[in-house]
Amino acid sequence: MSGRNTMRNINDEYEWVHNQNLKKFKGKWIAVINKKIVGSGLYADDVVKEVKKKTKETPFLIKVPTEDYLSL
Amino acid sequence: MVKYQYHLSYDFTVFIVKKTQVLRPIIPVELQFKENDPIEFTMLIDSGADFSLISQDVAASLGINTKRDPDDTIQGVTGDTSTFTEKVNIRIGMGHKNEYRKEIPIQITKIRGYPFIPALGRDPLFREFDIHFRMGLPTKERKFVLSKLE
Repeated sequence: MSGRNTMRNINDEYEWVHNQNLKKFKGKWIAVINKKIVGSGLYADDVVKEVKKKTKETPFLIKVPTEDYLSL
Repeated sequence: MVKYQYHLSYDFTVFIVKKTQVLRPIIPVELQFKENDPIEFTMLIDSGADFSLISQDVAASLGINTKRDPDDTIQGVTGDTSTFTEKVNIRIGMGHKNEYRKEIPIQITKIRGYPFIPALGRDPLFREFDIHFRMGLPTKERKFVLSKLE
């Protein structure tokens, strides 16, 4: 497998995401690269297409839950 | 006595749902289908799911042909869903000294956006790791831990 093999620390990025105000992204995917939100949308494939136009780096996709979402 | 090769520990992701704190065991992973570009996702560790499950749009983002006919139906607490299965490479613990890599079967729904969050089911993860959900510990020690069995 290729992809992330450096210490661009994904856990740091995930922690960074959780300290951001993500209200406007509720219910959407966000794509994060190097602690920047580089794309967003309702569906993962659309977001990846958008990001691939901008960079060759591996995007980190995170689904931002809505307030009433409970996983069952 | 159970022996472990290594441990991967994670903080729970904290959400407020209907004014109640909810702790979710969510981990960052990398998924790659064949030689396509890998993508990093967050996945929910779902001890109630037999296998891992991703939505049609997540599968499409990995380059999986999602026009395939379903070959299975999964029965969940929210109803029945048609799926098909593909093998996908997964990396867990990227950036850690001990990284887990495996080709795993993943069920793919025919629905864009369902499941809401990609789910990491028991098989094969729970065959290879003891997973400790330490939700009852004080906040600073409250982590879930994936302990790799020898």
